[in-house]
Amino acid sequence: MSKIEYDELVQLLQEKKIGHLRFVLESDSEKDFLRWCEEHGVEPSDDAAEFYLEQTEISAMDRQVIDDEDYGIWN
Amino acid sequence: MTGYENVNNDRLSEAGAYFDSLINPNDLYSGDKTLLPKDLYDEWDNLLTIEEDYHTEQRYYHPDERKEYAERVKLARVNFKKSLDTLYQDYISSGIQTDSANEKLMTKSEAPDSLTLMRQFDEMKKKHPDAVLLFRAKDEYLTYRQDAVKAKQILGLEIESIKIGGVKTEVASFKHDALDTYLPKLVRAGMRVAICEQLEDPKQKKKEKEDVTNSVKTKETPHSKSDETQLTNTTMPRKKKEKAPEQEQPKAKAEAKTEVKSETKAEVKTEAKAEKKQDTKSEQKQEAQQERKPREPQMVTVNGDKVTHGHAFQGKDSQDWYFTAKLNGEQLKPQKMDPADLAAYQKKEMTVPQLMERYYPTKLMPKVPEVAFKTPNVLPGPEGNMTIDKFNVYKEKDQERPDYGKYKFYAQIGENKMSTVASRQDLNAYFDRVMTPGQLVEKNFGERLHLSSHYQQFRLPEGIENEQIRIAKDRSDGKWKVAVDLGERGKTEKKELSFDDGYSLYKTKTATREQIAAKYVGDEVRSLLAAPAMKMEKSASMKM
Repeated sequence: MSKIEYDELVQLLQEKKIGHLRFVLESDSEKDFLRWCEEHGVEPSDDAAEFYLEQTEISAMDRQVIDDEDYGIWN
Repeated sequence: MTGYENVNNDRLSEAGAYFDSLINPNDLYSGDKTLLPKDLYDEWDNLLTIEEDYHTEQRYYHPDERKEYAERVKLARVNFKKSLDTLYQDYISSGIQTDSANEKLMTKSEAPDSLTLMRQFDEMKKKHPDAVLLFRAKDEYLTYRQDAVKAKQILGLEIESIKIGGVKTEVASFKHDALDTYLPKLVRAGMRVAICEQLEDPKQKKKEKEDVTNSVKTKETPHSKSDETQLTNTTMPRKKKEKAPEQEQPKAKAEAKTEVKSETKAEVKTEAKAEKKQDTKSEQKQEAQQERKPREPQMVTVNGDKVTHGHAFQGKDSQDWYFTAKLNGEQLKPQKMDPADLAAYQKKEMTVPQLMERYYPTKLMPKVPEVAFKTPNVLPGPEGNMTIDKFNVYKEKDQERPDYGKYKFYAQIGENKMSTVASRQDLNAYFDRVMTPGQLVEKNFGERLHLSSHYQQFRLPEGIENEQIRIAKDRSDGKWKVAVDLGERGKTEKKELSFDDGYSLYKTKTATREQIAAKYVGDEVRSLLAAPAMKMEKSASMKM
C-alpha cells in the first residue's frame, strides 16, 4: 500500500478521520515507532502513538527553519 | 568613399543579417553566427574548435594542462566577444542598418535593463502572486512595487521611488551577502520567496566572462537557448548532448524550501546550460562526493549516540529561540531556550554538550536494558513483593477532569489500578528508556502503594529531635496534621496529611514520623533554621 502524503495525513488527523496510530503507521516514522514500542514492551496503540508523536514531532514551520543549515547559531 | 570604407560597409551590411537573426536584442552573443562577416565567423569557428577540443579532451589532461587549456578557451571567448562588440558599435554608428536590425537595435537601446526586468517581474508575479520576488543584480538584491513595500515592513528596508518606462516604481534593495539574514526573516514572516536571475545585457555578460577565472567557469558562461541551437546546427555536435541533461535549480537557494524556483531567463537557458555543463558538472559532483565527509559529531553520549547539528534557532512564528540537534541523524524536537543560555551560547560560553545536558538530559543518560521493560517489574511492598502487571503512558481525554489533556502514567499492580499526571522529566525518562517501569512506579505511585522506598527520599535537617515533631488530629476540623516545633526559631505551619501517608505511618508502618514531617514541612524547617543563622551573621558583621 502506498504511503499517504504527509500533508494529507496531517489534515486527516486534524479532521479526526484517522487516529494517531494510523498517522504514525502511515508516516516515515512507522519503523521507529514500532521499534520504540518493542523496546518499551507496549502494544502499538493510539495512546502510545500520540505520546510518541508528542516526543518526536516537529512542527512543519520549525522543521522548515531547522532544515536551513545556514540559519541559526552554530558552534 | 575609399576602398577601405567600401569593404567596411560590405562587412557591416553582412553584419546586418546577423543582427536580424538576433532573437534577443540584448544578447549579441545569441545570433546566427553563420551570418557574420567572414573574419568574425572564422574567429567564431576557431573558438568552437578549441572549445570542442577542450570539452572532449580535458579529462585526459593533467590538471595544470587543463587549467592552461581553459585559459585558452576563455581568452578566445573574450576576444570573440570584443570583436562582436566592436562590430556592433561600428554598425550602429554606420547608419546602414536594415529596418529589421534597426528596429531590433532600437529596441535594444530603448529597452534598458529595468524595463526588461519589470517585464520579468510582471510575468513572475502573474505566476506567483503571493511570492516576494528578489532580483539579483550584480552585488545586490532588488525587490519592486508591492514586494518592496512588504520588504520595508518586514525587513525595515528603505524604499526608493524610481521611474521605469515613465512609471513610478517602488524599489527596495539590499546587499547580496545580507540574503542569509533577510531570507529567513521573510520566510519566518510567512512569505514565499522567489529569487530571480535577471536577464543580462551583453556588457554584463562580457564582464562576467572576463571575471571568469577557471576552465569550469569558462564553460559555464551563460548562453541563450538560441545560441546553443546555433552551435548544434552549424558545427560539431557536442559530446555532452548525448546524455540527458541533468537540470539544476537555476538560482534557488537550497535553504529556503518555500522558495518558488526562478522562472525567468534561467528557466529558458537551464536546459542548454545543463547540457553544456554536464561533463564537468558530473565530474565535479563525483569529486565532491568523494571529498564530502560525514559531519564530525559534536559529542558522543554514553550510549554511543552521535550528536550533530546542535544549534540555536529562532522559531518561525515567534521571537522565542530553540535549541535542537540531531541524534544519530534523527532530528530532536526543539526545546525552548532560556534567554540566559542563548546569550551564553552566542558568546560561546556554553557549548553544544552543555546545552544537550540542559535541554536533553535523558538523551545523555545511560539506557536501561530493554529486558526491564519486557519482564514484569517487582517492587518490595509493605506486605511482600508487588508485581507491576502493566505500565504505560496516556493523555487524559476526559474533559471533565482537571488534568484533561495532560500526559499520565498508568500502572496496574494486581487489582490495584492507578494513574497520575507525569512530570516532563519522567515522561522523557520513560521515552528515552533511562528509568525502568519499577523506578517510575516507585517514584510516581510510591505513596499510594505505601512503599518504604518512597519515604526514604524525605529527610529533616540534622538535630531535629523526634519530640519536636507533632502529628495529631486537629480539633478544629478533625484532620490529621503535621508540624515541627523549633523552639526559639519558631514553629512550622500545620500541614494536613494525605490518607495514604497516614496509612503508611500508622497502618503499614512504612513511613516514619521524621519522613512524614520532612515530606510536608521539610522546606519550612530549613528556612526557619536558616533565618536565625543569617541574623547572627549580620550582627557579627555589625560588631566588626
